[in-house]
Amino acid sequence: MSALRAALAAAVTLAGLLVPPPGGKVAAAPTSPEETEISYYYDVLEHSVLRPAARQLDPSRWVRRLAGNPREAMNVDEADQVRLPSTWWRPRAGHHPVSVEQMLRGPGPGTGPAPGRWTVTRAKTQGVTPGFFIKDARGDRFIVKFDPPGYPEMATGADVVSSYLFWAAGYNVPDNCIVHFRAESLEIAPDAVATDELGRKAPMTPAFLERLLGRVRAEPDGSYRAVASRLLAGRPLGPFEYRGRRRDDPEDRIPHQHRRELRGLWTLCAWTGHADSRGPNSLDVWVSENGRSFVRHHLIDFGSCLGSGAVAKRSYQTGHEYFVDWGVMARSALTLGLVPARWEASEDPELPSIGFIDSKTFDPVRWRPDYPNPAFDERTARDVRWGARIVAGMTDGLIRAAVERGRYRDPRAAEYLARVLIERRDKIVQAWLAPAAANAARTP
Amino acid sequence: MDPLGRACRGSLALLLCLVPTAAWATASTEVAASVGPADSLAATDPAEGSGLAPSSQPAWNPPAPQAEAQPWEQALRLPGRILSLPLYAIGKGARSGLLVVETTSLVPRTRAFLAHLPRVGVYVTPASLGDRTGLGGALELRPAFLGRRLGAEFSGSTRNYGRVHVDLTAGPLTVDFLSEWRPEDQFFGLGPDSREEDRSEYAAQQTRARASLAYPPARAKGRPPRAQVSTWIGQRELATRGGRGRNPSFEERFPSLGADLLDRVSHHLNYGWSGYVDLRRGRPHWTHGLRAEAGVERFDRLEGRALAVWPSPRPGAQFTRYRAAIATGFSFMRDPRTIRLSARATHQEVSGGTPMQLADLSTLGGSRGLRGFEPGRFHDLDLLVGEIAYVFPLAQHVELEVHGELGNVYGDVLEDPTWRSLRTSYGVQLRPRTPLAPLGMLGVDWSRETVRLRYSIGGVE
Repeated sequence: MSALRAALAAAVTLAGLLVPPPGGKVAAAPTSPEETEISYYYDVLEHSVLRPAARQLDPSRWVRRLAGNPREAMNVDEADQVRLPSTWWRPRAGHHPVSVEQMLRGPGPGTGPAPGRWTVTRAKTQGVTPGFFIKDARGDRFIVKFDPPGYPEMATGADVVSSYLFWAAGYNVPDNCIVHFRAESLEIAPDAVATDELGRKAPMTPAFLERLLGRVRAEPDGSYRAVASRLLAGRPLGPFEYRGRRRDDPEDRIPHQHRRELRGLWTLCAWTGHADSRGPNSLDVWVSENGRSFVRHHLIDFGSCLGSGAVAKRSYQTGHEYFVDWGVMARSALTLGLVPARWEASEDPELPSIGFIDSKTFDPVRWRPDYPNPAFDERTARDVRWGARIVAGMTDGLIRAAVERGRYRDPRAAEYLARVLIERRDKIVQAWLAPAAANAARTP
Repeated sequence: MDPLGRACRGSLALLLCLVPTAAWATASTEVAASVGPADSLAATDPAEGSGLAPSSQPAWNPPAPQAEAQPWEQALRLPGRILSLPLYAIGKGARSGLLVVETTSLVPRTRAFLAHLPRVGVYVTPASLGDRTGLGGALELRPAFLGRRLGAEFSGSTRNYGRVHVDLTAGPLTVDFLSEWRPEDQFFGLGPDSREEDRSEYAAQQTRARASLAYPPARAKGRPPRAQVSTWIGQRELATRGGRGRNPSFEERFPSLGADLLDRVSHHLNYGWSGYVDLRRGRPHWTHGLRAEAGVERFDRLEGRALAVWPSPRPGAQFTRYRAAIATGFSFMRDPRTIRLSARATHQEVSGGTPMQLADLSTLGGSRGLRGFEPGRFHDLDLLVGEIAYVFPLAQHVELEVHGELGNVYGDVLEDPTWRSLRTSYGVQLRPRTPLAPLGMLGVDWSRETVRLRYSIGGVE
């Protein structure tokens, strides 16, 4: 027995040597951290294949499961709430009353570019949906993005509606606004750069801009509908990852997968069908405010939220299974596919401006993003309830006001989206906050 | 219970008690550490009363950076970490490599380049040279400025298989030329009872020129018509040569057949008709409907009159080939689960006394039917094969097919088949899919003789 104890002690000591020492290197001066990049392809590969395999082979995870003792978030207080201040999140809906007016002013003025001519400074035709950067008459800078072919209003509407909802939930988001403009109101900056389909960069020409606009849908009156997203103030540092830390940021001391704001974000993403919630859709910005410089963490690019899949509508399987879902595959193989999947009962509203999102088959306990997210994977019932409290704070008024900002021309589309969000909210509340559910020992 | 079993059970119980207890104890300390007020820089939010704007106050943080895992977790993970170090290095390399791929826009560039090629009439595809031909590719030129009426395809593979095909189409009329070299096709002997241990190889060399008439005509690179009848006439030369592969050439394994066939060149006038109707429908794979196909073709011996590329003093057999195939299926549930049934038969009547070329025989094994057997495993005049398959979804982007096949080759398919002579083969295929179509497959097929791994990029229905 003593030999066993000695071996255990040695193992623990060895492990301790391998663990970075607490309070290791922390930059003393507030200098801007380095810009980071995430490979989109590797992100998919890592979180769909490599990390799930490593998790399954991780003995400590199994020990925790066996003990029924998951690792809880590290930045919570005695009341199980996020310790404040936070550069990731701020208590809003669910914690404080948020009025419609506050929400609509929240991310920014919400007025979009100033009237007058827009100067195009950069543009790309690469990818399915082209876009460009502009400077308005006031000198404010925006990125202008369009809807994919065949789905007018879908991605632009989702981008705007979701940005309001996530702001009301407490997260930092850009100021997005639906705009309509005519080709004549654009002018090309002398130093404007264009990136074509082959990734080649060249000085922008009117012909390039014409070709770009030729790829997007024009309204019957010749104008174009787009989402104008105000560029965030500060120096962009690249996306954050949902695990690990930005080691050159002295304020980033908690592994991201153990942050309550990121684990609990699962509930918000489930509610809004934000299956594209992944590192590359985030942005860290080095800001200077009130005599202090620091990193602020933002969620960006909500074009794949709600029923929008950015390039097409969401598949019926969205939220029910990962792109590569080993568990679903194993279950289907064992049953020869004879057990119908939950999504197979869904009903498509056939509203092109909405895409596909429903409340009937929405599962508030087992919802999944497009591919596994490290922070979501670490979530516990307490994290989910934290998020559910925020979702519960989203009043019908807030939801309808956010949907109204999507400027859907078809009133059925706006009504359907608001109704679905309200019903999904109610399902989350019922599953996680109803007295019976709250008392139950749930594991997501 | 015996003492050994009791001891094992006791040890297991002890382990089950110890591990969770350890985990619980460590976890309790970490919760205490995270909620204790003593370690916080700021327990309350100074910006609390200032509205809902993002805070610019110094963020709450523990006094030191936190480790991702507790020491006991690190200890448990240590062996795995050491074992996975090579994988970790590969992952690091992949990450850097993929980042370069992205920053240089390699994928969109390649995609745009490949999308541009068909516009000028250039197509690059995997070669369709059959089983056991190695990795292959095909380059097809069909110039857009000629209305895609003239086309040339060049296929080649790592096992030296090659094919050149040139065609000129004007409405329903097509004139085409084909030259093909197959250096190591397998041959195991004639008849349904050929033996696996008699494996040998032969090479087949074919040149063909013909004119055909089809109604309705197929559009170049468009979807084939739902029904079509066609007729053709042309000349063909076919030679059987010694095998070029690692296995013995067929004339060594079958000397009498070798004496008759080695380097024999057949010159044929080939004409016939065929027709099909395809009423299959469905997505992502065909889920219901029927496809029926029938054809008759005649191979008349040409002696002295042939425009011979390879003159031969020994003319080949002349024969008539009849073939028929039918496939049907039905599906159920929303993401379709489909059951498919298909059958295929070939019957050949030889009217000349000399033996037929090996490449003219009906063949089973590999992708030609009975996929769990080696390609070319069965050769004879006729064949009969049936299949039942079940295709069902595994997940959003993957479906699985399980199938079973039954069949064999015969001297006369109208007389010889017996239940006991039929061979069986089984298989499963993993098929990546989009909402519109399967993209390819990775599968395994097996029979009582062998297990075969198969893959395909495209070409899956």
